[in-house]
Amino acid sequence: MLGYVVRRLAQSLVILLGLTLLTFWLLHLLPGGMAAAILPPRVSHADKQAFIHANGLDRPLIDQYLTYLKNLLHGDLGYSYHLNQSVESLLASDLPKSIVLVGTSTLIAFLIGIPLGLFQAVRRNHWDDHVATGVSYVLYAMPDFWLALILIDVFALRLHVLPPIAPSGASWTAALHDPKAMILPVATLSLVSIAVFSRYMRSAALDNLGQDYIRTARAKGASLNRVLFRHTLRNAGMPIISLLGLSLPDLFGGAIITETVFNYPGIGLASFSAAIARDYPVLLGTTLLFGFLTILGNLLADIAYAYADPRVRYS
Amino acid sequence: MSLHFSTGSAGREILDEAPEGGAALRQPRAGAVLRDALFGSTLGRIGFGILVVVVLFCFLGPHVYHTNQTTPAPTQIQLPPSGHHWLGTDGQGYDEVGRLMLGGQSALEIGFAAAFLASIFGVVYGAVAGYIGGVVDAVLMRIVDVALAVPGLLLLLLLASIFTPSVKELIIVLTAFAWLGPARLVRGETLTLRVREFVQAAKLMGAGRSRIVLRHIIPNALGTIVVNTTFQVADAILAVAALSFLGLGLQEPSVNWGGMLNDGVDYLAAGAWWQVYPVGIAIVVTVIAFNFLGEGFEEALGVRNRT
Repeated sequence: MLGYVVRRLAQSLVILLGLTLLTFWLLHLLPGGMAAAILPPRVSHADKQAFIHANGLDRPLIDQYLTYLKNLLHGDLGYSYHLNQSVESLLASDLPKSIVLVGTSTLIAFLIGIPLGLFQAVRRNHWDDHVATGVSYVLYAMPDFWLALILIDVFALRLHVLPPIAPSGASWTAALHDPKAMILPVATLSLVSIAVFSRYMRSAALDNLGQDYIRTARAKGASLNRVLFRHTLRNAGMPIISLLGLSLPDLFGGAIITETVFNYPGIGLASFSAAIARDYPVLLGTTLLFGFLTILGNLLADIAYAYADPRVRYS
Repeated sequence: MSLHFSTGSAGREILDEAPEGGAALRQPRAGAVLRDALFGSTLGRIGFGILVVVVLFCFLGPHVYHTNQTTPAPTQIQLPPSGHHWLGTDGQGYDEVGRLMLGGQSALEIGFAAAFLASIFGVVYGAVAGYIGGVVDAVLMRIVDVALAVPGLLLLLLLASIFTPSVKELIIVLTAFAWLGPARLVRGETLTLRVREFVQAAKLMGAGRSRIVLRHIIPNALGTIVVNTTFQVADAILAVAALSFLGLGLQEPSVNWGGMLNDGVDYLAAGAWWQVYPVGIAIVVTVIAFNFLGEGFEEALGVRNRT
């Protein structure tokens, strides 16, 4: 087990290093170079040269990269002249809000999607399974921004039961003070995930239900519920751990859309605003952060999986 | 004995069933495989049917249903659906049905082009990594891992804000992200194919690396590739729509579905449902068509894979 963890950890570090190379390269790929990307547009030539020299942008690339890495290790992700704020302070204040949104949605999707998939597997090819499969096909193909607009149109504009805008307080606790305003954003994000989880769970459970150990358990007199939740869920549910790790980039992508549509001030909205304003330090900072979280999530998922299923470690 | 297959997994199955002695192998015809893929499963038939309707609507539609899509009509703005404008007009007085057709044209063109380019690049990349193996494979695949760790939409936002995209640039930007899936998939296929007898035989007969990859490995992974490309079209259509909805995709005067939704949002509160619902339905129907088609191919060609 330890060997596996060390191997996966080393692999993750290499990918993380590659990620810093990617953002560094993109920063240099920008039209006008790094100085043009970081400085506000109307800066005098002399100021620009001074900035280039002061920040070592005239030194060899390898030196620049090492400085960049050193700054990253010290938690220095750059400075946004557009917002007059350091990137790390922006991310530190916005990340908790995104975690509240994405975390709640994923949890809800989990609690609904998994039992739904199991239920569909038991009722396979009955009318209710067909209905659920049809709905998840549609949700799967549905752009999240359109789903968000429908929810706003129906529940906010026509029925007037929910606000069309998410809580916009500066602190992450704003969401807790106004839970009603969180319902539509959370529903948008979780509906798509429910479709993904239930589709996956249905096919995984179907694979398991046909196997001998299920028949043995049933023959020994275990009730259907016990077989489903104790036996099938354990075996079919384990790959869900890695599915969760793998779907992190999609969840973050969904957060960009959802936060933008509902004007929820998390990292998604920050990266959208940065893209519109061409505020590259923020955009690359969020790229690094999302990438880091994805790598970390995949690492944790793999270790959890290997812990739960020893076969993984030795293959 | 001929050991050349050009029809993907359909050929592979025949190889599996071939008797030990090596009786003459019949090569399945490409036409038969295509027919099976399109009509061999219910989902495939439905997907193909929807797709034909969508293509006819977008490309033939404008010749039947004539609308003015070049100059704004200030006297015709925000009209609800009527006999004259079947789905009403938008904030600039353009007919919505006509706009749906034009937007569909660009969605399909960009989706196909990006999926096709991404597949070609990804397939070659993955096949080379998998076949050469060793350090080259490790380095090439770590590059894929790095790019996959970044959310696709964020990468698209980043690239779209660097290059204000025209159709051509948008296709390149989408491809820059979409090749990762096929690269990973084909590398996996290659790892299993390179140890198979027919590849070993070709090697013994003196075939070079590029010949083995191009003539033996890639043709036998074709089933997987075709299935993946079909799903890629759907993903690309969704990605363009998302990008344009956020205002970073195609700019005026080009017409596209995401941009139409972006315009429609402003009028939703005023009750202009016809600017939001038909476009969304068009996107969903088109995406479902490609997903059905992909699953039909999966079933008919006997491959099981989706990255």
